[in-house]
Amino acid sequence: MRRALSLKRFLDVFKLISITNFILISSVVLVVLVLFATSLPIVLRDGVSPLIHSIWNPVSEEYGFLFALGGTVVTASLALAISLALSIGLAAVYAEYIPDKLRPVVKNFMDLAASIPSVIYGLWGLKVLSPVLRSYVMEPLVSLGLSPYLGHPSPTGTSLFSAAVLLAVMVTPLSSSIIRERLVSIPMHIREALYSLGLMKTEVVLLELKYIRRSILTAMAVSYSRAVGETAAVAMVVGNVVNPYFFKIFRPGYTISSLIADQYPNAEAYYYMVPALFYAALVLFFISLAVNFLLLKSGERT
Amino acid sequence: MRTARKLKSAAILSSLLAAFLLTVVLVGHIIATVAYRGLAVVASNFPRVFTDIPAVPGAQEVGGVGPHLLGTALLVAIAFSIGVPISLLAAVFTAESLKPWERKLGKVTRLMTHMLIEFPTIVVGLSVYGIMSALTPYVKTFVPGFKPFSLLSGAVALFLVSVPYMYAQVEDGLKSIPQHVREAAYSLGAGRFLTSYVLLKYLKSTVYAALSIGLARMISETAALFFTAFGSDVYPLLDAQVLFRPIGSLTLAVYYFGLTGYENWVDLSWAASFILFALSLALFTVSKFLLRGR
Amino acid sequence: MKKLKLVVTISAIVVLSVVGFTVAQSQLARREVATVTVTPTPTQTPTPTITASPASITGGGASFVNPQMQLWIRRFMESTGGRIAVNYQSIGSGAGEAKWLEGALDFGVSDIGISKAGYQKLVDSRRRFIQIPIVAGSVAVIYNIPEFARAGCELRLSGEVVADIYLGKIIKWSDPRVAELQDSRCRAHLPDREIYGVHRSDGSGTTALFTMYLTLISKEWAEKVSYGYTVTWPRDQMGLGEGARGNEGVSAKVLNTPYSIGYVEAAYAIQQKIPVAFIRNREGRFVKPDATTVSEALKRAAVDLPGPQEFWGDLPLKYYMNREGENTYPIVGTPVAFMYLDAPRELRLALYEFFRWVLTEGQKAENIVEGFIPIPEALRVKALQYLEALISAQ
Repeated sequence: MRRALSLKRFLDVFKLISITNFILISSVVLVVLVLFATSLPIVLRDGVSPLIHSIWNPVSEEYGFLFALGGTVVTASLALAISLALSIGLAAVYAEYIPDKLRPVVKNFMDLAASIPSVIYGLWGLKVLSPVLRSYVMEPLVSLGLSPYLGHPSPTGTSLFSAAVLLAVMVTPLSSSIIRERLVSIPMHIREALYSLGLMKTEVVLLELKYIRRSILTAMAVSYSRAVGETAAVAMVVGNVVNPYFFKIFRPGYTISSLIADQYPNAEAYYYMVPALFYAALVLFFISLAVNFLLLKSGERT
Repeated sequence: MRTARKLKSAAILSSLLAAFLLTVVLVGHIIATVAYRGLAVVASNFPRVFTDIPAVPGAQEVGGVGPHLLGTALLVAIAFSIGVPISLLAAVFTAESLKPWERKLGKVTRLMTHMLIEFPTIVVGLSVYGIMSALTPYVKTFVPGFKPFSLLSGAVALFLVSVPYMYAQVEDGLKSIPQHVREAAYSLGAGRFLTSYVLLKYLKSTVYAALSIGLARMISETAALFFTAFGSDVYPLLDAQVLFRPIGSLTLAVYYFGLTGYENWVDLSWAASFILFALSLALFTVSKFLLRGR
Repeated sequence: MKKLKLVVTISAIVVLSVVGFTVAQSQLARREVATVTVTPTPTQTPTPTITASPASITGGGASFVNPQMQLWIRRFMESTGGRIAVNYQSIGSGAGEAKWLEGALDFGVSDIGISKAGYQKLVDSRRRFIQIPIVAGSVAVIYNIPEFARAGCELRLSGEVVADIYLGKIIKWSDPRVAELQDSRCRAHLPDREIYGVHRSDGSGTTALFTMYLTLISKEWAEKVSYGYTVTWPRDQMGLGEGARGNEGVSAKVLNTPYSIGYVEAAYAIQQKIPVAFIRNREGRFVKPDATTVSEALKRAAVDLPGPQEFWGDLPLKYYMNREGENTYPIVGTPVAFMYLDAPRELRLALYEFFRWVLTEGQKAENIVEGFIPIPEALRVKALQYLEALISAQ
């Protein structure tokens, strides 16, 4: 009886912990408010025109960030495509082909890779990946006459393409772990049923992948968020150039987060640059929400 | 027909294998490069690299990343001690809510924290700076030393960056607990708070996983610290005001030193990368050890 | 069993590291070993007239001065036994100014002085402050013409020609306007190639100084482009130019792109031994940036240096650049430090002690990073005079 009474008191304690929820909600609201309030001046002045122009000229206070928006979408999508291929391959080979004894090694190795700070990926991307990509991927492709479509690589190899590849390598450990976990947890009876149809192993694997497509979409959503939001690593390899032809991926460019990291240091010397940078972040935020929503919704439907 | 199938199958298999190998090689190369370049610097400056301040640019010696190591430790310690109780309790409240208003609050919390993930972390950092500098005039009357570039701002930024992950992990874990376990706890006469406590204990490995994810995010965050912790290449005075002084971090050291043209500073950047990597590895090993039941 | 797995994992990582070793090593072999050295010389302890109590100062701003600042901070802290801890971070001139205005920093440093917008804010808030020059800065024009390198020729340019190159009016190196500036022996070596114009992509004080000079020299530049931390480059629109991040990025791009031109902080070009172009000065002489030519320019400007509370944002444009004198380099400036006079007294004393050290001991050769140039005596004396306000202020 005494115990029950003291438990009654605890019931109130439960309500009390809603404070933590209020703290979380209000801090997010504050962050969003700051974002809105800071970008307001340029929204009032220019409306949506920054979204459709690629002129970045602080001297005349013109800030069209289409190039950065495009750069973000192009790098994130390309990274997503590459990472999708890599992580499906990784997860499928892990779950189906490698001997049981090797599994923990691969698993731990990839989990460790997922925990490496992104700035280390950035340093590696700057000093190792970009030059290698330039000499062994971009130059050969350009020599095939593709430069009108893909652009000419810069001498150091930093480019939207390098950023996309780096992002792909960076998000693959995480996204493959999502697919992997789901793949190994496919119930045995489903697996057996597939084999009993007389299918070959690869065909079974393909069907299994189809079976878990929701998890693959979740993995894609997670990867996209990380790819879009990554700042330090991308700022180190993307080249940081106002590039209105952001679809020419071998050329250096900007993403929104690298634009902020690159331009913010001197932004406050101008009237509208900080608002413009925050506006870009706000637009990016809405794009991410939309992409997430679409990916997860299509995941639910299937 | 049969050969076509076989060919297709072989093609698919080889592309899967190629993807597998490519990823392993790339990731392995990152780790190897950091280990090789970083270890060389750390080994030749051992143990001063952990305590010294960076040498002057262009000098023969590299100095050390002592202030940055201390900064990372302090930032993470503070962010962790704010972040863990808040994210755990908020997750418990969301998952165990019953009444309509509680459920609504839980839903909003979930949505909001999820939204936070969608912001580039540099924007989170800039917002924290904005909030802190707006607060400064008011807080200054009570705390004279209060400054927006500070250990405190950095810790708040790290908290915001890592909390969505900890929260989501624990909340998902709580939601996945079979209803009968929950009912068993209630049938013993436990209230909701006590039940939640029991459930968290039941979920020990998930909680550990959440904490290690949060810790990993805090250790590895860079962009959110640019305009909050601000960075410092010298030791701050460790007095009562230390919370309100700028402080360095290992990630900031990697970023800033890596982008300079001075060889000894680039070396220092690799050394900082290696130390960061070693920290992640240690954290990873410990969390694997704690999670060995799973 | 689980422990075994862990051991296996870790050893696998170690094995992979060893595999990657060879690859990493080949990367390393390509890396050039820098020969820049700074011999640490014991500094004499200055005898400051006023000794501040233990304090910690936070400053931030221009990235160009960061190496020099870090050296000063180390030496200053050695000389005071760490009584005053100074922290400087290279967050950029614009941010240095803005964060100082917001009260987040104790002092700010900008490559070109407080901007118009910032100055207006200061005037409106009626805050009292001082500005002082702390070191000399100049911008070098760098280039990559293989024919010139082979023939042992050095490029000569004038401000007008540089402006027209970046405006896209001069397309090729063989343009007669470029040719007429060259040595008669070298004229024939100018290639019939398009000039590739490299510039900074990130906002920077270097760009601000460089474009200020072009604004001063070329009317068309002043009208079409003007000056600032980031400008729109007409040559980019013709597909004949590109941006790069930082002094490192610009110099790497110029070194790797034949027939290109670029501009970097002179200190950086001197350290890295990049070919630097001669620039024609007001007297028609061709000069390169070095300690003598830069000091020559600033020495003359010292007389005209406005008061510490005046608007300094166009100082280089008005006073420093394109000065008279046969041996004067035209593209110069001084990074400027600024601090409040109405700050708490302990902070003012600490700032005074640090900047006094910077302007006395800090300007001695042994405390200057290679490539950097101390400010000339005349300017130094004036700056010290301005600094005194920190103590006399109430």
